[in-house]
Amino acid sequence: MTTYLFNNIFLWGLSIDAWITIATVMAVIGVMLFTKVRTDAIMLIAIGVLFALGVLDAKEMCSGFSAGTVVVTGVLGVVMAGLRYTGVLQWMLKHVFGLPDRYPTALLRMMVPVSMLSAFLSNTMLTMLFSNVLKRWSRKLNIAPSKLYLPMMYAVQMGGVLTLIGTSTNIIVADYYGTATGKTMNMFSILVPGALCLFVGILFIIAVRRWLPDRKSPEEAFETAFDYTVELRVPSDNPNICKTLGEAGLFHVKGGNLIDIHHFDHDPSVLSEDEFIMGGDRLLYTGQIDEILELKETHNLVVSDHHVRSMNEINKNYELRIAFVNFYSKLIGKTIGDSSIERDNNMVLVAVARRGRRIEAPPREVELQAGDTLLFECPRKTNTYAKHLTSQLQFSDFQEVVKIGPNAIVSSLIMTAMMILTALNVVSLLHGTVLAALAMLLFRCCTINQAMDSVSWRSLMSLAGSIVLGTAIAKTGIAQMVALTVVDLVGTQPILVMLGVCLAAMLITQIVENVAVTAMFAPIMYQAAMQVGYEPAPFLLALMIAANASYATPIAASPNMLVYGPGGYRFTDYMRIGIPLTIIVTITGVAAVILAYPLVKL
Amino acid sequence: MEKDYEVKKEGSVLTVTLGNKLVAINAPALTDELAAYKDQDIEKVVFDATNLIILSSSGIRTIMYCKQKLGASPEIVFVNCKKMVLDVLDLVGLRPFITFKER
Repeated sequence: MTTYLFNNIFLWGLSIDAWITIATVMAVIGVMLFTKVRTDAIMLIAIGVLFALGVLDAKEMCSGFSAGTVVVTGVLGVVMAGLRYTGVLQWMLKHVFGLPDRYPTALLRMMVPVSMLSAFLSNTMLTMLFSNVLKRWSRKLNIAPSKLYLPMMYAVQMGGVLTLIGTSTNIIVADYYGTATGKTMNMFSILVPGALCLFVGILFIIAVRRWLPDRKSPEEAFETAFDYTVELRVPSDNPNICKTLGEAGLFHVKGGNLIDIHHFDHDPSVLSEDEFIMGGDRLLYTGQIDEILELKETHNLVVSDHHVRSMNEINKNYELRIAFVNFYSKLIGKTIGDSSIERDNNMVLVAVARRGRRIEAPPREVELQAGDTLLFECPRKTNTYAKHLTSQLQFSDFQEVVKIGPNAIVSSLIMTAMMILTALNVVSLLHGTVLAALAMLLFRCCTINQAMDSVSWRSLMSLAGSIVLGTAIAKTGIAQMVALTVVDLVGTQPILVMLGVCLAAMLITQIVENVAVTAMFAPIMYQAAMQVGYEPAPFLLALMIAANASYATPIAASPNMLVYGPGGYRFTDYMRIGIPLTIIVTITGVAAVILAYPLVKL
Repeated sequence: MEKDYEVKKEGSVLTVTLGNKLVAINAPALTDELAAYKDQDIEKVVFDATNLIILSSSGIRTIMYCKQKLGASPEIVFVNCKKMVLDVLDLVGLRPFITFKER
């Protein structure tokens, strides 16, 4: 006790290196929370700081990049590309949902297969694929998308915990366990507790389904009359110049109304039929989008842009596409004109809606918010799935038309073989995924380019950085210190220790990306188990569930952000169901782990 | 604001000598004055733009009024038009409707 108190007097028993690490971790959390800096950059800067200040040596700094976790996660991207480009996923999505006639049945029909797929596939990729399926499905069933997107996201997240490869966080924990103990975890080690959590989670969501918001589709803003505005510009060579609005037929238009006119110099003008039309005029209409946009053809107008353009620049190779502003988009807080996204992609913002309601102001003057629905006119060939676009916007009409052929069977067999061989410990997880990825390429289930595009290099960098941070936390004694503090607080009762660390991880994962939380908490949980003298595996399995229970905020994980726009949600929508669900899943997870893996004293 | 333009009628030709600006504060008054010549078979409106340096949308409205409402599409002539005024006329697409002369 005396020694313990003495240590606490000098830097609370921690070294300078430990305090540098704590400061770095706090800075990482702060920057993640309050800025839009990309996570991979934050992580790389953080480990750079730790290396520069001598906390980490060169080998430790590079350890994250050569970690099996990172390699497995990256290679799994190639395996997924094989399944995706042979049409296996699309076939499954199309055939398993059906057309249930009741909402609770619909939830069940959706959540069960989604969670099963999520056990083996990337949560983020699956959420993106399902977003498009759900949009059409909600129309067929006449159920508001807001009633389906959150349950889908929860199913994806809960399903990801069923296997070690279902989510990066599980791989991190398993990898840490392997490094610390020399033992390996089986791919299905987490299956029983994960399945129980999934079962309880699905039941809970169905039971409280009325808590889900019943909001009209954000895209309906562009389909319903008088729910949006469109700004058209008069080019300098327009044949109606010098005519009045009434004479040109631009005052009373089919399907809408002219609500404002801005001349080139913003001098005040009275909106009347007798107002003359000048080149450079911006005409603001409200009404049915398709009808108003016909004015472009019939009256030689152009969609408003930075410059007055000649009609010669407009051709028929354009189409309207709907996009949502991402949660961490650089467009947030700016008008579209403040960014170069239109110029860079040759597209033009036509209209803006927010939570299903039109924005009265001219679209180009709207300060954008996360989740805003934007209607763009863009070239038909625009790749709305390009990374430079998807980092800012999420296009809702992304569709993959994949022809299902014999390769679908090949890719399914490869995936099945990988699962069986790794589950039976015939090959390690690393070997299994690498062999499966090679087989996918060898049997041409995907091209080299498709495989490379399927790897999320940014996520891999974040993952590698998180692992290095975890190494620093373990090396500097922070993990041991936190573990000791937990033991001090809750005593040496192992279940309480497990629950204490899980609750802390569960809380932090609501605001910080779960990969980072897992990397930080894996050494803490390991040390906590060692402090109370128990085999650490069940403790780490419980951590997998707690760190993945990031359901209560839209910023907690990528899938949460991806459904924010399409579902037309608000921040509080996540909290209403997410908070109780997080608590229920975490407690169920801890209980299930203890039941499935009785705690063994070392 | 003191009147800084002058309007003269010689037969079917209306000559408007402009000041250094034709903007919201003087253009409506000029339009009203020109409206008095409506239905008087005006065939040509000559704008002496020797001093004109600022032309706003209100001024453009006045020119368009002359072209569209004063008579049966009278010829619009601009005399001694400066480049900055020409640029505005280009932007609003009015240049094809105007004959330019130097004196």
